[in-house]
Amino acid sequence: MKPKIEEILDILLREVKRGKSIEDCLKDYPEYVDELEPLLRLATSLQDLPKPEPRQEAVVATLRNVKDAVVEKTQKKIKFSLRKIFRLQPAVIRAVAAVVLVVVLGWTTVTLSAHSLPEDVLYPVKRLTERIQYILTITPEGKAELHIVFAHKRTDEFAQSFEEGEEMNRPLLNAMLNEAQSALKYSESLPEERVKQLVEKIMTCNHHQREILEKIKPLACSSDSPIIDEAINLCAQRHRCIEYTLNPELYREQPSSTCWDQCCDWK
Amino acid sequence: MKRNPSLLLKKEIGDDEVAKIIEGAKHDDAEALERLAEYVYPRIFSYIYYRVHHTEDAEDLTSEVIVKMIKALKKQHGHFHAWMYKIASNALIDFYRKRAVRSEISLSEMTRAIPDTSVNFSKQILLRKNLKPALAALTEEQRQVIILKFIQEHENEEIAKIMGKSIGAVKLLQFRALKSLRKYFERKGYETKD
Repeated sequence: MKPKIEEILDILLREVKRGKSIEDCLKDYPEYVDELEPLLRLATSLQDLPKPEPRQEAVVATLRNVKDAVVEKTQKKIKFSLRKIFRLQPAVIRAVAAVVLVVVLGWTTVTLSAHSLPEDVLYPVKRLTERIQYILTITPEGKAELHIVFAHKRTDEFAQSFEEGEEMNRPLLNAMLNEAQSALKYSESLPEERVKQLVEKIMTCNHHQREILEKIKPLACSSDSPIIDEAINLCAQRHRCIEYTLNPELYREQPSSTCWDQCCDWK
Repeated sequence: MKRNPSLLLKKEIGDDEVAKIIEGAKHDDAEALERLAEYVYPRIFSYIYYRVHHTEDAEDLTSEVIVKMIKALKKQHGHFHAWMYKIASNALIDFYRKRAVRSEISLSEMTRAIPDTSVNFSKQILLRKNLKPALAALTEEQRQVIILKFIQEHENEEIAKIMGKSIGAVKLLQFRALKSLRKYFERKGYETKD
């Protein structure tokens, strides 16, 4: 079957492109010379046309537009990601919000409880916070320091509680004296150079407690007076023990009550 | 007119490398996107150049088409060049719609560029400016075949994919387009024989 003219043209175009002359190509198809020769010449002329080229500045401007489009695309992507987090994953948002809420509420409660007294609602929170703080403190020195801090706090609470109610709070009295006693016990396990610094702090605390007790004594009811006297006496004994620990050379002989175990317990 | 060496070099890129560039660009790789823009620029420009009257319009449209391509790249599937020329064709349709300029009007405008003499002007065909009005006289499909085959030098198989036609149909269009062009030049007094 004879090929169609468009097929022949296509074959000849390929041959011309490969470098064969138009005349040589047409030798195989003499019956089509008149029709195909001008078409092949036209096609060759078209292929020889110089390619249109844009101006350099137009190309540069386009590349700049492309960069802008890429930046815009990236920004949209980031925006979409954020939207995705906030819209498509409410569980994550709820979890984060819950954690933040718990932290904020916890921090607020602890802050508000710092100045509470035993009769206040938040006082257990204050004691619990102190307990956690104490558990998280590992070194004996740190624990001793905390006992001193707690002793001061209980002493202030004892004084404030008395001012507000004009009644002696016995548990607070026990707590303030026992905290000081615990600090003294912890100091025994410390190196000698650290003992002196710590004992000085205990002495200041003991002095503060004795002052508070002496202020309260004349205002307290008669039934509480013996207990307050007893507490003042204990503070005095502790003072002597501490002084002997700090300056043993001032004493000709050791006072009868210089041992913590024998004379400093508050029961 | 300054030549842009980086664009000319891109013509030497092989099909595998082009595929890699396209893949990188789809994953928002900045360098691949820039290389893709450099690769497609001369192709889109020459595709549009013969369909508009002013070079500036061709440059603006090329820029517009490339930015559209970059933005829609993730959605691209199938034959890349077919997709690229489809965007370019749509941009041209919008261009003429916006300006309310029909191809017949642009043809009449462009025809004026050719001197109406009967001198043997075989070399005149080599002048690019004379090709524009001649192409404007063709049907859209004939014009597309001439540009893709003889200006951009695509193979028949690729032209068939771009135009969504069979290879046989492309060969027939090619024959008819060349015949129409020849008739046009004869009418205008140009001789295609040396």
